Amino acid sequence: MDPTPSSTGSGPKNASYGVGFRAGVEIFSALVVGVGLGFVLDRWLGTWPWLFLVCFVLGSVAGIMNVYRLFDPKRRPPV
Amino acid sequence: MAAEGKTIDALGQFELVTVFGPIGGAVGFTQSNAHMLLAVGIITAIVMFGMASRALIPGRMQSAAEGAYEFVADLAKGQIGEHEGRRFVPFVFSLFMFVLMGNLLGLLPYAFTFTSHIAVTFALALIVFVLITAVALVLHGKKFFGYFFPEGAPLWLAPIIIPVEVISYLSRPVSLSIRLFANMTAGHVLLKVFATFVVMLGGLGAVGTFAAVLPLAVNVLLIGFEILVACLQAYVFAMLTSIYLHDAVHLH
Repeated sequence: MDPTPSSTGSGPKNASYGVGFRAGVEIFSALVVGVGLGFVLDRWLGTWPWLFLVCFVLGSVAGIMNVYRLFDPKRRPPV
Repeated sequence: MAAEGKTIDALGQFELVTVFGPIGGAVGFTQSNAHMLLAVGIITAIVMFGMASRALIPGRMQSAAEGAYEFVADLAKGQIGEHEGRRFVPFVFSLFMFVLMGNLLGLLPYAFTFTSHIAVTFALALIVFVLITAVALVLHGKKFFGYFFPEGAPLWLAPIIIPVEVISYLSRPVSLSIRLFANMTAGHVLLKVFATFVVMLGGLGAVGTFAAVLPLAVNVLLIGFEILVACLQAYVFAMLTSIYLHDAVHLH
């Protein structure tokens, strides 16, 4: 009775242009958030540049995790 | 004007100017705001006049309105769940139609794409982000913070996993806004550049006029591609909103 969690509506599921662009945007936005967070924390705590570098690394790891979750076969099919 | 010196002015089309004369100038009412009002007016007209007849066998306008609603309702309920998704269908519908109308209206001549400004797309993405966080907090309370530490992970990895998960969560509104803004801006910059080629080649005499057909043909194809991108990006925005709402309602 319950519909499967995958989308029942019509629409492009894995248009290659869209998925590739989305992967890039996910990495970029995680980097932006990480770098921004590191920069703000460093200015607040005065620990330039160490927290910035740590948050840069964390941001890139988060970006790669985002891309992994995008292509993870266990989840419902990504857009 | 389009090409000054050696450069093509591809980004000047995104500058905001006030419209409606002194009244607009007094409040800073720009062409972006005017197009937003136009988009909302069109959506309201489609739904109001489409459903006015309330026939059992729908006519054309009612089919269009019903089709749009059912498309978004299927999307939201398919992602979030049949029962919980019903509460969010109006929000996803408004979001989807607004972004779709914004993207499509910008393709008309002399029109402005209000979704090509990061201010607009980031505002929309922030609304979605605040909503999903609020929904998760209201529905799950303190267990919301357990989202940032997946079960089954070894405890000593927590200092690495938790900041990474927080950054990944905070990057959702950024990625939502940048994706829409970049697609729209890039599309319109391409259109402007090829249109400038047409004008520049046309000014080169008889041979130039024949050569100008080529960038014109590219522009025709680009308009078709941009219509596809407009609909696709609106769909992706609504789909991702539904996915995040699913995460907020269920997995937290």
